[in-house]
Amino acid sequence: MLTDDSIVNRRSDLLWRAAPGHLVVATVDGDVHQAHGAAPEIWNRIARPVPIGELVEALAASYELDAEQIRTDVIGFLGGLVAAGLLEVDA
Amino acid sequence: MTDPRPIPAALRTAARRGLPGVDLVEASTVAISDDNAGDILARARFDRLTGFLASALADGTIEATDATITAATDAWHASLADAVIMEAFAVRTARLLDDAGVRWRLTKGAALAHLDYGNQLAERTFGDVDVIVHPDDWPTSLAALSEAGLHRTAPELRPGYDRRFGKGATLVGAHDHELDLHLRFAIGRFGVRARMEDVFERADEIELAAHVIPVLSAPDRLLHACHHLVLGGFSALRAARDVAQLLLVSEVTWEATVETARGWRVDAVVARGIAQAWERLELDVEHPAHRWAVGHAVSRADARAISVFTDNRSFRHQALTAVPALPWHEVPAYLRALAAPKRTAADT
Repeated sequence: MLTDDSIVNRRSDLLWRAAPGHLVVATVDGDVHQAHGAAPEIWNRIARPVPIGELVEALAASYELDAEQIRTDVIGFLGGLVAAGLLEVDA
Repeated sequence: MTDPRPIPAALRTAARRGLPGVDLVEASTVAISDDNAGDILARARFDRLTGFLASALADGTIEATDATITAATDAWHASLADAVIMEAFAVRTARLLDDAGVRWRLTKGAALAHLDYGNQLAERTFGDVDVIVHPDDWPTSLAALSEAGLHRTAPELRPGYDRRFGKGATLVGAHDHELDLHLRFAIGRFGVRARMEDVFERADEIELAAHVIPVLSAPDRLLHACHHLVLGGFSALRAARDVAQLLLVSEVTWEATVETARGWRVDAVVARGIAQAWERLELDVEHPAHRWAVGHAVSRADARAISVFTDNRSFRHQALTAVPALPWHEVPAYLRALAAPKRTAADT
């Protein structure tokens, strides 16, 4: 289970492209995953290991929102990446 | 080959997007009407320009209805998926070729996108993988790829034709992923003049999925881009953009390209490629390579050969341009291969 203390970063052995509001990620085997909205910004911020709590705070500041408003969505998105095997997690 | 249709202003504006020195004030007058939206989107998809077009629509450089903007954006997003799928295919191909000990270089799409498009990486999309193989490693590369399940879309005309005269082969893998395996940059007169071993004396590299991929050097990328624009695919603008991008953004040492081209006696292709890029994109940008290109004297024989390609003549006509460039003792075998292909069972 992901928490604020979980440290996440994207796997280095992936192919990806980011456009405004759109992210496409592929594994070398050719499995493709697409996401929308803030996905490109989150993907950019997890290029290095980052605690989820820090990530949520940074995104909240970027979008001028309260961290509590976005925490659930961010963790949900990251959970999807974990389930797809695209993320490394140090819980 | 040349697309004979007039180039719509919106497509040209999209293809120029981001080039230094290009005046975008003109763009305020460029709009896509509902009447021509379908045609422009289709041509943008065909020419892999949806990234440039969608971005130009998003920032208002080109005006269109919301429906057109949405359609262009959706097309771009689909192209992005194609691009990463092809990069994954490129990595799998790289493993096969490396394991087989093949000397090779990635070229065109992914190579240009990563090394030459910088902050427009996502806009430069592509739909296949292009690889140059060292001539001596051609049979090894085919055997390794065949063993991995890839197959040629067209057989070799006659045994030995590819190695001596051919441009290469298109191979198809699972999910119809397409790999263009090149021995040369072109068929015909300019293809058989090439000494492809030269491009293996230097390389750039990119990293895809933590795998180091050898890529044609920048001057050789320009050389290939000029061949593609003048002698290659049915592309109106993207190939022109690649040439302009290499010169204006990557600031390639174009003199090195010309030096190689002179050694191969294909300098006419480079001159025509640079001149055509400026013409098709209607660039009003001073560049020494362009000055050289427009002042370069192309021989009548070279000009005739180029016109066979730009006039969209058949494969056979284009291949026949090689005859005057071949040693006399190779001409009979070459003509036999074109006139009476003898395909081997292994190729079918």
